[in-house]
Amino acid sequence: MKRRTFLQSSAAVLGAVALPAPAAPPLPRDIRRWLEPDDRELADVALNAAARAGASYADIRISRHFDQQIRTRERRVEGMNDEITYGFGVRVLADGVWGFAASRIVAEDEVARVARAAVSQAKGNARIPHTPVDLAPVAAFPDAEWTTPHEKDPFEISVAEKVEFLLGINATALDRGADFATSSIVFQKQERFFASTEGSYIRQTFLRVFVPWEVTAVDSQAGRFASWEDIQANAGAGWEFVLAQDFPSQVARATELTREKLAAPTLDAPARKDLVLLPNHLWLTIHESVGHPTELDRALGYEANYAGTSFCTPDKLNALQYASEIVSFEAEKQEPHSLASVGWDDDGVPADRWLLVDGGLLVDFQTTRDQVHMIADQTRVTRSHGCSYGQNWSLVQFQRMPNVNLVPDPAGGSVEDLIAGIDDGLLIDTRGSYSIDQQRYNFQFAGQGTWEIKAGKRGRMLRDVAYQGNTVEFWNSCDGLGGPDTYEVYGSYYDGKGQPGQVNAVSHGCPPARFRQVNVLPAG
Amino acid sequence: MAILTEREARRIVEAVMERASADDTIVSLVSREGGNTRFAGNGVTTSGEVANVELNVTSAFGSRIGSAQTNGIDDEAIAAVVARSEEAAGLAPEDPEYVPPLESADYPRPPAYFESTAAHGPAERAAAVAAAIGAATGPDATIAGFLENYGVAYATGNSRGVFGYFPMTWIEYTNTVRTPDGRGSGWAGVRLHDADELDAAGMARIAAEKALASRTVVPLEPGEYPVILEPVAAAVMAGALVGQMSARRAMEGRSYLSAPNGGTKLGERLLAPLVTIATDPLYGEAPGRAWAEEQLPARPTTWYREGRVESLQFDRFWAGRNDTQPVPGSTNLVMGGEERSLEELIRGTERAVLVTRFWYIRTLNPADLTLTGLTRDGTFWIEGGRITHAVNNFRWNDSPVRVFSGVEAMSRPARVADEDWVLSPSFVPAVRASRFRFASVSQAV
Repeated sequence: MKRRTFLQSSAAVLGAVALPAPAAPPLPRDIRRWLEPDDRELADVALNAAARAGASYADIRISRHFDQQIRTRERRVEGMNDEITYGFGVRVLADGVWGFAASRIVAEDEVARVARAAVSQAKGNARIPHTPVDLAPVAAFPDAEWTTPHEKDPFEISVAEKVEFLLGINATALDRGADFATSSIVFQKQERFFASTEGSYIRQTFLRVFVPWEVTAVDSQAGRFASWEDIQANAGAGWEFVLAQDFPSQVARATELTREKLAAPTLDAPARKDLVLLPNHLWLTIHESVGHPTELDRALGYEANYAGTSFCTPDKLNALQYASEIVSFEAEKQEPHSLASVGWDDDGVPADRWLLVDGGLLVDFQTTRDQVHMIADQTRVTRSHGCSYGQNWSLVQFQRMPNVNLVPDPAGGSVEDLIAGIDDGLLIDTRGSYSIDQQRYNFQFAGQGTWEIKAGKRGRMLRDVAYQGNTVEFWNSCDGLGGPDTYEVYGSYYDGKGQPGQVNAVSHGCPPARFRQVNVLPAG
Repeated sequence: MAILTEREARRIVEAVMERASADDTIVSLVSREGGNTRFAGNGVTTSGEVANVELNVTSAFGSRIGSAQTNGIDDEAIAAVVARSEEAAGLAPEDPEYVPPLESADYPRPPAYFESTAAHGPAERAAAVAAAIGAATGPDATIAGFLENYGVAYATGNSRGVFGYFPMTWIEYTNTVRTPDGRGSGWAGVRLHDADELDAAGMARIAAEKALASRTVVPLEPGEYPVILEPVAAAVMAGALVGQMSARRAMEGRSYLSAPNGGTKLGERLLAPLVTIATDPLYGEAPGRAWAEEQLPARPTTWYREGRVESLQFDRFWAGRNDTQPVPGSTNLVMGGEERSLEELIRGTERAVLVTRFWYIRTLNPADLTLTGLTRDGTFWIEGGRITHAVNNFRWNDSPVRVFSGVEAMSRPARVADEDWVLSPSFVPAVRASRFRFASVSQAV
């Protein structure tokens, strides 16, 4: 499974963006063939208890989460953990306000107690003046099931095989001259059951795999060191994804480049230069400067106390030229191997695909059921885009980022074609340091590898270089995108947001892209 | 339901040991119960209550180690987690750095549990939030914030007889007030052990005052300026320094504390003589935890004394390799201050940028600990001993080593909120430093 396989399915669906999300016909409630009877009965107990206590809406998520981590360093296992957590959370609407309670004890008395506690909490909160929650309609899915497409469940692969795999990565680096090498596997399996008072019963299994690694070279006499870190080899998939990545050649290349970086010069002074950003770097720039600003809760001030607000507010819909005309960003939760993909979100809304930026113009946001009405007048979209997600049973679901992708240029060329159009610039490879302000205007990003571009050719390597800019100016300076063959998908396993903090896994696909006259600076 | 008592925790640890067949077994048990209320736009948005446990078992056959974790504590769950841990250990390779568990440990009992916090329920949270909304809002302000409190019981044990237990409570309150025109934003927050010390309405008033005062900005060019970092911003700098005290990384040549040829900067003066930073689990104003990593009892350690590196952290393996004793890491952070208030610190300042809070901090260069980040929610100019006006926010690129080498004056220390890079709990003063590198303007408010 290659990271580039996204495109074939993506391009086919892009034309369907304007269509409403598919809605399955309602099925009789007695169709329960695939359900474990306990889950369904427990769900009904909770939902009935909530309704009796005065909830106008309720849902329950019962879930079991398997998390496995093995961490290695050089030729030893540094640590491992294999965690299982099981429990449920009940969310209710009462007097127009949300309430939520959760427990690890999945039993009839407890689900009823917790449901009542959630209602009591909502009613208490409702004493504070508020605007009642308004939910966009969604079809009932009384018999729904979805599983991340995969061949080999990573939890069925032995610890010994995984350890051998990781120590092989480290050995490649050490044998090539690295002084230190670390690698890890981080696997997640989540079995989730969702039921709501609107008649949905949805069972899903999410599988995610992630293999971060890092090599370090030290010049002990000079007291200097350099590293190359790769924390983006991840997907919604099984063990087969791990095996399909060519780690030996990636690690060998990184080791050689790290040695080179150790002795590389940095920039003399800040300057303005053209940039070519490779997909393995650009994905995080997209995440930070497009994914986060188009979260509707952030734009409306719901995240003001933590993750921040957004320069990109609903009054700018269909008016803000977010990027140059060659740039379109799609959001989706449908790509089979992307990290945020699901069958249904945690509102019970089927996975969607839509455009956020079309030909450079801001046209939509990321939404959950309770947000749709807030921008429906401008977008004319009356369905939720299905962006509700809770990290696990113990944390309430809220609006989280879907996969957000930069659409390649159908007639675009290669990386070399983009480089050829630059007289004085930089080529940046792999995600490095990254930081952006709380309204997503001012960002500063760096890669693991940076090279000069002179007269259309790639030149010498530089170290400790960052680029800094304003989101809208930066995306409007984009004048070149790679073609469909250059499209690659990477992801963030631990995207943080909310209070209490929750993590979300999300992928971003993109081609390489060229940007004109960006501020670059020596960083360090 | 409530957090586990010492007796209950001990019984679970013993149940693990009864089922264990490994040469050595280590147990970590965390029991937590609490709730939260989140609000924005002057109303509650989400809230929650949850009770959970984490039972972690580490097994060793010789030097083969495995680990497993569950949130079940009945007989079946305990048997299953022991079996999974031992199965993993059986499949693991020999660990050349394995150190058997401690034979004994005498744990301190940090005074960090308060009934006032444990008893704080949804009604108390709603009342505090209502008071904050009332204190902050009017036609010129909108408030968003978060209030969370919980009790947590920690237990640890091993097959050689070590057992420890201690309970803690936490209450955290943060709020951001913004003006409806989007031109002003102010923040305040704190994380405490004792709910009786929390004044949510007072926090709301501070944030509102900053929001209103920051509406009219006088532009300030990027550059190097003297700064006053309020305690939470200073705690970020201190946390970044203390988070990197590993002797091993320093001796391996990959830390800001590395010296050429495998040496370290132990004993060198890196910071201004005013700066002393320590950890002390029993420090009354900000008690830490009873044990650090590897079940090592937490203990007072001074990392920087009057600017000099006084201690480095040694894990048990690295200590043995270097013929020294282990030095456990921090479970809290205590930085000495001076006997004056923040207002007095401002009054004694000729010119400086006053920073309320930092945001989105990442490492730029680990070799000298250069970080990048931004200012947020209240950045002001001080001239002639008073705040004269708000200035724009900045991106900054600087190292806490360099910033703290220029510390000239401090306020009394204070408890701070649990921000990124803050080692919680931290008890840190506001600091005035002679120079801080603001790299570019951020339009964000």
